[in-house]
Amino acid sequence: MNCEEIRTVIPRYMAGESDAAEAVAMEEHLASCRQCAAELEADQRVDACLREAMLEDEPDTSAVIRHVVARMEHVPWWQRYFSVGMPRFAAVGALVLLVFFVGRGVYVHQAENNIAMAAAHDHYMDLVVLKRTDWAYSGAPSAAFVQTNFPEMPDLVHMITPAGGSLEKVRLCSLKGTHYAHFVFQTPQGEVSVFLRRAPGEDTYKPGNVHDRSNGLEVAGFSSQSFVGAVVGQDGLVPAGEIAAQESRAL
Amino acid sequence: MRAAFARLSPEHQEVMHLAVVEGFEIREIGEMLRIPTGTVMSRLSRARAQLRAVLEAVRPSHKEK
Repeated sequence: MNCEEIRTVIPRYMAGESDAAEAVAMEEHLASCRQCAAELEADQRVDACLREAMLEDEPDTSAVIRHVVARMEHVPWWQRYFSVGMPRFAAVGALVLLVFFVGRGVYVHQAENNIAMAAAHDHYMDLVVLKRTDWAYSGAPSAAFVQTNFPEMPDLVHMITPAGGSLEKVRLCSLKGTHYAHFVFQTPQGEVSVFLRRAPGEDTYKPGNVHDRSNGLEVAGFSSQSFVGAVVGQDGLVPAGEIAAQESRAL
Repeated sequence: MRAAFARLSPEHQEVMHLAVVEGFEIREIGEMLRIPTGTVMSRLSRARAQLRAVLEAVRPSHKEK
């Protein structure tokens, strides 16, 4: 490997994720190239300083993120059912049962949860961890934003505002490759995110509820005549049904 | 360091936070953010280069927040 190739894969090497061949090639190169070795050391210093600075007094949100990511991960079926130590025939039998009796249900449940997982991730990354400031709109309700993006729904903000809540900020975002409008409301009990996209006529999407009891997180989705949406907030603070009902009544 | 981190673009903050502070694998970050692993690695490289430049400039007091 030359210097350029080495620098491309340094992040993977630093993360300890290089395969054996790449690690050997990297170590051979670093032993003979002071510049790349210095580059790696400098990057390691940066990581150490960042870790030190960020972990000093930041609230620990890692449990929430790990929970969400664990639910997003697709574990290969053979790993899930052959790594628990049961005899092979029993595992095959269990798989056959799974496919015939609950396989479709599990698949559908997982698919339905995708948007809820993505919404939970987005809510926490942007509001809790990164505290992003690149919101399209922040302040009083933006009639212009709604008119541009939901021209057929002039009462949209009213319909999706949780009880006692007020709109804080809004932007367009991408969840699982689909574009959504992300609204953040302040309620007396805490922040609630509402993710909306227009529903195609034949859409029957009904994402399930997801709870993270230890962190008090709840995510729920809904389909109405005009919207597909997900709501994220503290446990007991997710009025997905109310929003869908209000929107249906308004039509 | 926190001030330097805050000046990174949101995309660079995101991958650095997940990789360095949270300890996620590059593959996991790619899945979470729905971007290729090559993009995760290039963002990490660019973010580290920017933070390195700040550290070099303020050394030896770089540990101060």
